[in-house]
Amino acid sequence: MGLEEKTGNMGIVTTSLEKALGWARSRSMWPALFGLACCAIEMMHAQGPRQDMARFGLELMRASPRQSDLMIVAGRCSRKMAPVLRQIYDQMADPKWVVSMGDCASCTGIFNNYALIQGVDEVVPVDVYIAGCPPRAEALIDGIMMLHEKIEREKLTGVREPAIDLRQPQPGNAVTLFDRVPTRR
Amino acid sequence: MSHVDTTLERLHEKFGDLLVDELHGHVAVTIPSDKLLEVVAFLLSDAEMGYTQVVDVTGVDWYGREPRFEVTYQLLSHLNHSRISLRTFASSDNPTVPSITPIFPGANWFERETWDMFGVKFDGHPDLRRILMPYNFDRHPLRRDFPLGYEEVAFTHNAHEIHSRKAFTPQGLAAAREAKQAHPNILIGAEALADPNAHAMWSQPIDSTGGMRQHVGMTLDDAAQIGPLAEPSPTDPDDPFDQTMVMNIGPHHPATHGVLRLVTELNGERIVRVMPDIGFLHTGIEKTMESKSYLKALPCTDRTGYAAPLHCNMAFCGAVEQLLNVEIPAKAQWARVVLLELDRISSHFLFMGASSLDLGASSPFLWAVGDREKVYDIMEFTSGARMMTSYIRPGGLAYDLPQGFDRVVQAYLDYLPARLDMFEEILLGNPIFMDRTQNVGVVTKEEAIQYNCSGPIARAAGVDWDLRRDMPYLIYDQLKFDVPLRTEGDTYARFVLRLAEMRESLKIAKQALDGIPSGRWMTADRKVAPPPKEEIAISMESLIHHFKIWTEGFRTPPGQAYFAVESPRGEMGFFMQSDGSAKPYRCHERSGVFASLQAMPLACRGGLVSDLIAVIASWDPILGEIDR
Repeated sequence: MGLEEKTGNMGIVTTSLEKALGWARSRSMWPALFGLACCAIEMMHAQGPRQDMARFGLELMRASPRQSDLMIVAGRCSRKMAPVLRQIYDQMADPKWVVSMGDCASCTGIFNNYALIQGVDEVVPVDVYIAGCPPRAEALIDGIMMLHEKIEREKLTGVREPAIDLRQPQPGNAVTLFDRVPTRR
Repeated sequence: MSHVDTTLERLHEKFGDLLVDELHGHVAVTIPSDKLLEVVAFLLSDAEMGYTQVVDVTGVDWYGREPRFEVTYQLLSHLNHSRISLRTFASSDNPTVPSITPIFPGANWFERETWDMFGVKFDGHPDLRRILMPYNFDRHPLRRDFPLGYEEVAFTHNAHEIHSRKAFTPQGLAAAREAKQAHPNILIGAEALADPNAHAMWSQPIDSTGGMRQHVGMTLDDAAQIGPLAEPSPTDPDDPFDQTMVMNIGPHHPATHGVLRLVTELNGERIVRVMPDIGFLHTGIEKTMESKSYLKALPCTDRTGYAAPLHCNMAFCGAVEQLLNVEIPAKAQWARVVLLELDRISSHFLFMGASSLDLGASSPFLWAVGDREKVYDIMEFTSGARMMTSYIRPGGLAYDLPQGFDRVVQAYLDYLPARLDMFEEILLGNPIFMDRTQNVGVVTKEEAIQYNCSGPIARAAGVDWDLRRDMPYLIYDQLKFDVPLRTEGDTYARFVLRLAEMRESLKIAKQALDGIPSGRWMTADRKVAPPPKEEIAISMESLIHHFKIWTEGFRTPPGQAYFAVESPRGEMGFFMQSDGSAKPYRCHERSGVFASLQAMPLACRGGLVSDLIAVIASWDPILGEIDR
């Protein structure tokens, strides 16, 4: 879905189009309200008056997956919940992104047990992983800004870059909090 | 003579000799399972002893012994402010005990949970289905012979190999399909995704005949057996416009405060019945805690009731301290009270904010989050963590209060009253809000007791019971405060009551803050507390001791303990079974809202769908606490 299928190879036109699209897409994201557990409280705080994610174009959490393009998986995903998670992801409109917020969503942290999916990347493709149990609201915003940068770099070929992993510093594919070059906005 | 002794005497008179275990004030009576119903009925019916609620039912698996399964019941007397615990046993070949749900409906979900987790059948239970695990799961995870389920952790060097076994890669998907063929009934993790039926289950159209209801595993006839919902659907089979339909709300729904699923049967806009479906956040926390030493199990408790993590810490530490019978220094006790009340305030703020958002008011949400931030600041200042502090430890506090703690807390307490007035004005005095909540979702006092409600939900219905006042723990008996009480039992009363509780919490926190004495913050008992850091630098023995405490943990005497605190969502209790080792043999969290959610279908009867949203909001469910 989306522009990717319609454009084809348009040479120099697509390059500018890509830039414009990336800019537009990253500046107005509509996150789906997908709070699962403790991290959802921090996600609420990121929406709150102090951190105010609306500064970055995330004005409102959408309750319907049909109206959203970003899924912030905030919390641990149980085996009972996994099919639901996948279904909600499938219902979201393309192009769509996933942020795995917190240790449980990324790798289940301390809960390596029978009840949980060991990381939501088993179920949905994840774009940014954020560490923390739970991550501070600022960490979530940091992850989202990194996602913005990633979206701006996206090509119209439909091929995605590998995930940004905030869990461990890996020069190369992963950008971390510390070695990232600040970009002017 | 204490009330427990009187009870034991009465039981002795009526049922002859019974085995009584006592450990540090926790009295447990062993009852043969054939007499259990009789004993519970006797205790609940006797007006003089005044046992009103069976607050907790859970199991213990004595793997390798016979009889293998133990079921424990915690009875609470509202009249005499005392508790007694009953134990009964079931053999492994046919683990069955009689169900007490027919005489005390509030035990319904607890018995279902025990069936789900241990496979103990409850004879005569009206609706013995799985409650936390998926319906197609065919084992019982809290049995000792069920593995914790460790999965290899993927690091950079082995990620490729591990991922090739998982269903999101083609090889892994093939392997999962193979596993699925070998064990058709087991759907674990990624295999569930490889199963087309598991997916289809969520995408089938919802209709009034099959669909969802089929998945829920209950027919309408089954549903009709759930106690108060037994009244027949008010429909005329010949009238095509008078038919009921089943609507699914959740598990992903903005108004369910997490992953609560409500299967509702509607006749037009009217609710005929509501069936809550929980377990979507089941984390296996109890099983995880059983594999860790007491200190390492503590952080797991934060992650259950994450809106009020310190209350979970406190209930757990209280149970461990009861097992150890250790003295808590005064400073720790007073500081705990300050922090617990701040925790209650922040939890009630979350309730106020999220609930009013459900009702369409977004300003209170933003205000509440802003005011919660300030509590998080205090928590961060005190413990280093915003939310999951794990600051209350068995034996005292994790470390000393920081300098300036009183100043910071005092500033917050001075700031709050004006804010609470604002909330009262914008929310509780708002005619639209009053219209939506008054006389909506009424629970009567009797229903609240019968369906195991506690905390604000029970107090809004007129049950005058607060553990802080009636069975005081820590230093609550030295503080002066009122327990707000309402008698309407409706949604509005639950809002008003919680706001009043916040004002009382302010009062308590102020008194406790003024009373914090100086001195130790951790018990001097070296069996429990690690030696202070400065001693480690000069003493080899202390270093070894420190190492032993942190690696091995401390040991507790064998026996049982049950300790409950008044959490923002009712009685939060921990049942502990120790076998004398450094790890809990069985650790069960009794959550207030898990119990009181049973009464929610009652409150929704005959209401409108939009009222249902208001009712869920007023229940303040925290799914981490419910599903654990």
